[in-house]
Amino acid sequence: MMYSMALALNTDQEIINEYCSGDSNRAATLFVRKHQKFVYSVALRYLRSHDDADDAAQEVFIRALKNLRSFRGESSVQTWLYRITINICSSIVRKRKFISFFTRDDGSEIELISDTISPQQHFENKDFEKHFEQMLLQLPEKQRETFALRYFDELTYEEISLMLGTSVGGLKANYFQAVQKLAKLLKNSEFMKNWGKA
Amino acid sequence: MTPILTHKQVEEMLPDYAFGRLNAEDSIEFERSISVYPDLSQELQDIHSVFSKVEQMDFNSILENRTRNISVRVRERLAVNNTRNNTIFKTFRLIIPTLGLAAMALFFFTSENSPFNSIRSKSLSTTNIRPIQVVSTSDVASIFSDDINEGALLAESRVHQNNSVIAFPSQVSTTLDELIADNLSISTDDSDNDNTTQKDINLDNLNDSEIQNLLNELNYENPSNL
Repeated sequence: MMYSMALALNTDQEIINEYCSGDSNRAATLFVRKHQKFVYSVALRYLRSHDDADDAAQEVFIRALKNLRSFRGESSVQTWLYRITINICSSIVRKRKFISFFTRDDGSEIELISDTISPQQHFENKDFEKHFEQMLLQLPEKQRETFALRYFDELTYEEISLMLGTSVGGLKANYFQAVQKLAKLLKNSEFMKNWGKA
Repeated sequence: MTPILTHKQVEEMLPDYAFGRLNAEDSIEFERSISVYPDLSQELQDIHSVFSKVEQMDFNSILENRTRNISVRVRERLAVNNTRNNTIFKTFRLIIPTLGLAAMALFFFTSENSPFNSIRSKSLSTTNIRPIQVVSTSDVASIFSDDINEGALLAESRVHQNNSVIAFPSQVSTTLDELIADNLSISTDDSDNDNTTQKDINLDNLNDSEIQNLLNELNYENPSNL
């Protein structure tokens, strides 16, 4: 049912129009579902915690939906959401630093196993996720963000350029360097050598 | 064969080609050019071998699992926020006008400059006005000489029998008022100091002779000066 509605309203502008003039609940759901993975993955890269990324994503959508009627379309919705996400994540990081200053929080994360996938699949995914995350963390921030936005979120260079404020040429160079470094890191890692042997 | 693309251009297109995100035209151009750059050919092979394993991971489904309830939770939080905002809005919508009305009422009843007080004081001061515009009919002739046509003057005057007030034509009335107001001052005994104070006189209570004396006191000798 929801997917059929999503097909009926597949562009951001249609969803915004629906939100402003018609059924705001339905449009809000479509809006969130359309962008939730993008917002969540940006927040996760920034915060490195699934719980924080989840909270941040909710906060981003609440702020976005409150201001959706005043969205003027000067940039794409994704660019707009990216900026909101970065602002909220920065705020969360500041709060986290402030709290850890007083509580000596080591920043370690406790994660729950999802109940929708098998434990074996979960741990395989979990291991790879962690390994890949470690590889990603070895990249400079600009390269890491460019790689993520291009590789995972499949954004165009023009969209990424608007988000990061870097020229398209610079982004292409960053992307190549990020892929090159990741390939070397993964190729030399023990994890990848043992991949599939278990 | 001269390569169409430079080393840098091939380098920039390499990741997208490796992950299958180049369009058909760019892919053909890339394939024609990369064979000229062996270092980039080697890079492409390494990327293919490593990322073929990476791409087995379904990051999309991982994210899907992580984010599946966000829309529900966002709507719940929005509903809570809206309820809270509505309550606050309703409260302020009642409180602010009430406070405004209370402040206005306070201003009306307490301020010295308030319109309410000025109306009240004006009404009080109005009751104290006592016009000096009273002259006996018989004195008119003695006051005014030949310069003013006595007959016409008397014809125009209206005698109010009940209160003994005579209304003169406006020219004479104004002149008479000015004359009396400029010259009449009566010192009061009940004042605490020696200063003489101007006091309104009610001429209703004066008889003709008293008014005559009053005019004599004003040294009115030549009515033609009027």
